[in-house]
Amino acid sequence: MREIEKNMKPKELKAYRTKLFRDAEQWKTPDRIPHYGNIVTWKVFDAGYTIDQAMQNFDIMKETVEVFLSKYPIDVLIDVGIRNQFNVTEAFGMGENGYYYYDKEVVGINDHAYCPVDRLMEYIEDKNKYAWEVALPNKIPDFYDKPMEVWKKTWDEYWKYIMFIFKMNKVTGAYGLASGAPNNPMKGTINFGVEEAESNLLGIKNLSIAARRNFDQLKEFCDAWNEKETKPIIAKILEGEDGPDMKYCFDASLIMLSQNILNPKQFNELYWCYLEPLLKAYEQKGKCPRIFTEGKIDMYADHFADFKKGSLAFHLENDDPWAIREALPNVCIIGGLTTALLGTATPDECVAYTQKLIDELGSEGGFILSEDKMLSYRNDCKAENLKAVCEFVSNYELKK
Amino acid sequence: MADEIKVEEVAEETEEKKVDWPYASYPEGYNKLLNKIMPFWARPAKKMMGALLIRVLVDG
Repeated sequence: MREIEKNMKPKELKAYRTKLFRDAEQWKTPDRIPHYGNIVTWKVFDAGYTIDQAMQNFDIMKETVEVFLSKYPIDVLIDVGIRNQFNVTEAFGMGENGYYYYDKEVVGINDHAYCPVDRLMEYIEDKNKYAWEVALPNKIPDFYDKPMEVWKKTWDEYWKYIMFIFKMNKVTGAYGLASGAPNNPMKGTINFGVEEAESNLLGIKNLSIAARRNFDQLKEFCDAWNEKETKPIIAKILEGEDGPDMKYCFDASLIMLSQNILNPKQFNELYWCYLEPLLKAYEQKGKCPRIFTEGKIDMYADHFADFKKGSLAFHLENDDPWAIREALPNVCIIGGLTTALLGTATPDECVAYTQKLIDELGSEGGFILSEDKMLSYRNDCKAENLKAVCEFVSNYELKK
Repeated sequence: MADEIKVEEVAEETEEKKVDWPYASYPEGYNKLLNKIMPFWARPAKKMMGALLIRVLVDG
């Protein structure tokens, strides 16, 4: 880390780091390239623990985050140990009916579905009612037989989880870590009907089938989702203040995954027609959302070509950053580091590649360094490689 | 992808279960149950915290 940053107090450092992101997004040359840490459970291994140990003990999870932040001067960390709520689902006795699972080496998720296509409209009508009366009894065979003591224990664990979130906010504050993005203006994550269908309601397999066999029902659901969920968010954005919210590095955080299983017609009619007005609202207000483009986005690059510089940032997964820069010279790129590199190369090779990324993609803004995959597995990265990259990028000043 | 995804057979349809569980309805039964498990001081935030608890159980 540079001396100037070492001497900053945590709040000052947080504000400075936030500005580095905002400068890069706005295509102004930042003092140095900011590093968005796309690091999830890898840090558990790096701290000397296994996944099950960290998932079953909040103190260990907290320690893994502190060890990580002490070793690596990352500017934003995508996960500060609060992603999984196994203590709550275990208290409820979810067992094999849970969608998430873990062992010593892995946290995983099963493809799952709790809503058939012909009940999607019932779900959107009242999500909580559907969850309580339909989804939970179907997911958990003994849902109606849970004794009150189990419910009370579940509540206690849920409260412990909420307290852990507050505790981790303090930890990250002490390290001057910048905040990624606010919740959406209506509170909660910004999501689209087709993404909700893929991740929860239908699952990947059933969505891909429904997009072909039940297109009209899916379209009706996506329209209803747009009216109920997306349009109120757009209205809030438009009636809010102009310009970036400098408490955060981005003005929103979106995840795109469904584009990978939709054909162009399906993408346009089930996704883009709702996504475009939201992105245009952010553009109109001088704001910049970060979109995690899981899988690939290059096949739909033309859709994003006419957005103003400074209004979009793509966090790339499998796309080539140089190809995206050529196709979309208006979009800030987040990414560049691959797990293949971090997991197998030498520190010198990692640093040389990082310098090439910065010199070719970021010398005039428009580039933020990050890992392509969420670092999750033990072999996703060698500690000495991440250490070398962090030391390099946190000291490599750009010429203005 | 960060998480390991196992593609398994997923439910094609759901079945309604006829029950006499006193908390089975929403919002009446659900609210009654929350009143039983939430401490008194937390009840003003029942709407938000109850909804989040449901999400944890449904999505987790």
